[in-house]
Amino acid sequence: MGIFRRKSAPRITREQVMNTRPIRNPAIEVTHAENGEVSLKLPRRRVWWINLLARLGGVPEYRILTLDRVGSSVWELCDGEHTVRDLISLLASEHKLSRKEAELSMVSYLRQLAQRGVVALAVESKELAHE
Amino acid sequence: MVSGSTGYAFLGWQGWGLEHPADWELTRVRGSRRESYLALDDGERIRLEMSWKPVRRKLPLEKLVEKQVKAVELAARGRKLDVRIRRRQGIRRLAGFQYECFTWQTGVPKRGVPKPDEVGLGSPESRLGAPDVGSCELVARCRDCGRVILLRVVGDKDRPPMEEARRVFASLTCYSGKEFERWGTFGLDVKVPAGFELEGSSLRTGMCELVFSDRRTELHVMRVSLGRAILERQKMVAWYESVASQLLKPFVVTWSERPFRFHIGHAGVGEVRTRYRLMSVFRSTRKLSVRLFYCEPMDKIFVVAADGSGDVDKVVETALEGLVCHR
Repeated sequence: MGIFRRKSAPRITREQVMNTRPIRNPAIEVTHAENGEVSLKLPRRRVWWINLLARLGGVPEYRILTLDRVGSSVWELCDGEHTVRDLISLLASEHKLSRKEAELSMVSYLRQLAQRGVVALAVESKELAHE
Repeated sequence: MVSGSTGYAFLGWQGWGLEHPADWELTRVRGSRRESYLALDDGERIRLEMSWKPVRRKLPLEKLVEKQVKAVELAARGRKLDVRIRRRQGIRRLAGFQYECFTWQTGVPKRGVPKPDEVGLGSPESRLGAPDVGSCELVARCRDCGRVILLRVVGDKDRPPMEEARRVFASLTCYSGKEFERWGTFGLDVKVPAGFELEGSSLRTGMCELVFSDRRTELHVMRVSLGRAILERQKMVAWYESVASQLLKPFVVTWSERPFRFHIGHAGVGEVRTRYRLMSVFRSTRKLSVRLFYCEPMDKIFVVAADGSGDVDKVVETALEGLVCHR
């Protein structure tokens, strides 16, 4: 049943993930606190059921996400220039983490940011291999 | 083990201890003290594999080595690779072990070049498929506990791993029959009193925890990264109470400041809450002892806690004495 077949997601290897460049979402309002922490103003998701809830008055238009000092410094480096590998080595050297530990932390943190739409992860198209 | 550091780090697991290049890190572990497997990688590929199990003492080591050599040859034949095996390679004398070291090197595949997926990247337990791989292996039997360990240091075709392998093999130690067992991984290096067995382990974001137990006492050893960032936000005791709420729940804990090796530290003594005592008459002797401190040079918080009916203070003090923070 070809018409119902879902397009398979591109397979990304570990090496490709490491070469990915996180980019901040320019549509998000950012506030810098004095202690170096960053607050992000996230607009609510525009899907029908959230829109419905919002009409009933249950969902605010914006949500504030405050990143801690470490998270804020990573956020600042998500400029499309640094790769995930760069971010991992910077995190590891700055906070005396082991490579594996820094990798686990960074990947899960970036995944969370990407799921919230705060950052996009740019992968070079020639690197993507479709199944 | 600090990232980017050169030199060697210590790995201690299930009664085995050895030194390995500092940029190799634990990537895979399973099994128990009796029989297990673990692997270390350097971020690109598996570099060290360890597996062990008890074998009948009557079975000569020679037979075990032959079996392993045959397994290597068979795997090579399956992949259509030439393999050169050299037995009885010299390493420094290993006290307390019967052992033999051998090396193997695969050649260019006879038919075609395997794709990356076929060369063992997906199955690190079988590195033999890679055409550019050579390996040094050690088969050793501990004279005390009878466990047989297979250690494999994986190299490249243009970089034989002999130098690393010699150092790794020479540092092999078995802690069976000793007063303590040294455990070490991800910068956590601690001596645990004999009789305690690993109940659980976890590596979460910035937190490495090992939980041991003998029948009477449970010992928790924790190493937490980003200590400065944590302590900027809250006091150490308040942070620990939020992290270990489940462990602390049945206790009323009294905290006091107690530095450890010139580091800022706290000691906590816990008595079982009255309602828990009434619910469980037989566990009324249960106590809790906690020590936590912040090692500034490493930027890490260490926690040692014991909970149970044994001499928890002694267990905690013994573990603390053997805890390595900054060097």
